[in-house]
Amino acid sequence: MNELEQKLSKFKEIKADAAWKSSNRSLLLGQISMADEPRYSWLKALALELPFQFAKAVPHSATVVVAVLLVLLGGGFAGLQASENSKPGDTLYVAKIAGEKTQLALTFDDKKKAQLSLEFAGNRAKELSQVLNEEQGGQEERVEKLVSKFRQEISTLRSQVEKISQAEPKADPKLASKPEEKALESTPETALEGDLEAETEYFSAGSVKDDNGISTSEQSAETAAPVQTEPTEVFASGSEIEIAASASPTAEILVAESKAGDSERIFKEAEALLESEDYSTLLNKISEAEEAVGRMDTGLVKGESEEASTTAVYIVGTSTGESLDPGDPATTTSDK
Amino acid sequence: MASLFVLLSKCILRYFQMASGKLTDKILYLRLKDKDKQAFVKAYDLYVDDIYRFIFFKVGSREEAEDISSGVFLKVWDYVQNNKLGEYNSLKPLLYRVARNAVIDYYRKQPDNAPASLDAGESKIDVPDEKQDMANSHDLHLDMDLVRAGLDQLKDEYREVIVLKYLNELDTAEIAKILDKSKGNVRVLLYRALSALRSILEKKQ
Repeated sequence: MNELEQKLSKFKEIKADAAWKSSNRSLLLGQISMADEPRYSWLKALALELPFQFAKAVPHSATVVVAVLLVLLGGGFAGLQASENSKPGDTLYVAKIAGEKTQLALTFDDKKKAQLSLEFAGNRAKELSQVLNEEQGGQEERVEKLVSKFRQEISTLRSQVEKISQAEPKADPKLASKPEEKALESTPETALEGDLEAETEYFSAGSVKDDNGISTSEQSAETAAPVQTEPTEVFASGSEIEIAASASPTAEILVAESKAGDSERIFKEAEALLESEDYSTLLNKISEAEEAVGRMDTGLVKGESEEASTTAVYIVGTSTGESLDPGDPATTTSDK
Repeated sequence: MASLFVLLSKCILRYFQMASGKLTDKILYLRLKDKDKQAFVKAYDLYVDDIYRFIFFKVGSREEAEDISSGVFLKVWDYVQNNKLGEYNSLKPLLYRVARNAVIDYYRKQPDNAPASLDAGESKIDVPDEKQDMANSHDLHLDMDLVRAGLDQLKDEYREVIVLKYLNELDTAEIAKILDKSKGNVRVLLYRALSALRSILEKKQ
């Protein structure tokens, strides 16, 4: 039967004559035009057109969504890895968002939900920096969307964290010690840097605290120059104070010129905080993250895309050996 | 395990494709109702080859098939505007139904045309198998001609289901709707049709 069926299937390649098809098309169109003018409204036509386009697109993204769903079903998240680095505008981005939503829906533990929301907020920030780094224009719309999505994730995250922290009242010893650390670190820096915004105090305090060893403050004990604790900051007000990290003994720390580098770090710190259930600090961290991403956006709006949009080197050399920007050669400062 | 996933993904993909096809169909139908000419053009481009193929295997002549196909699209436009055949609320089954009726009408008007004979000139099938060498493609053409001739000898009912399933790639449910039969009927019909065709071809050899 199969051979016969195959032969029969070959017949489906028979098509009508192309010339006839097109002349016939015009003929028919002429004939139906004799009918009354269409009585559709633009709105209705648009409403019907969009699902039509979607229906045409479905076969393509369905392949992607199906692949993603299957892997999830299988218990693995490997499929999501493929879409991980996609940003708005990419075909896989749909799958990425779908994957995120699915993950969230399948998670029931509040803390894990918060971890996911944090991750997704981080993703929005990452995507934002990716979109900002694109050289072609037309980004404003996507940037806006990303920023609003980011704010959504942040507020979801915030309410989740508040929910958790209320459910698990715990004495938070770290909260007490933190302000001291902040005070210690910020004083010498304020003296040296001048135009510091409040966030930088958080950054440096955070960097001291952060296990990922991003700052040199722990490593360059001998020089103890506070300037080395400062990664490069770019302020939304437009004045750029670049603090080049002086040669650190380990030479692992590199100069970051991108706000995205900062927000990446903040997210990592936030993750650590969530892990250690330090909810009050975490809430502060969340605000930092919001502000950091907000500055990325403002940077673009103010036309400072030169400074804002660079994929120059991120801070690498974390203790896990993880580079924040996997694609970059991680040893030089480069300007794009 | 992997093959299970592949199978599953194929099933889901086919489901999606079917679903999206049906959605497209419904949307086109609605737009046609609104006298949307763009929709007409889209429907034409989407289905003209299928309808042509279907009719061609019933009437055997290119020109006749072209004429009748033309008429089918015009008629469908008219039917949708005037809400005839209202129980067909999506495009594909409606098109096939109208095409089928059109062929029946055609034979009624010309009783001397024996439905089963295909023009001699039409017996060459252009199978796009350029990769095969000449000898192979010659054999393939012979094969196809044989199958073609076998199809001709089949009873109308049998030939019709075979064409709908293998040449038009419709599934059992769709065929059932077009022929106004039950799915079970269609399955049995298909089985019998294939057996009949097979024995015809075996006799020839």
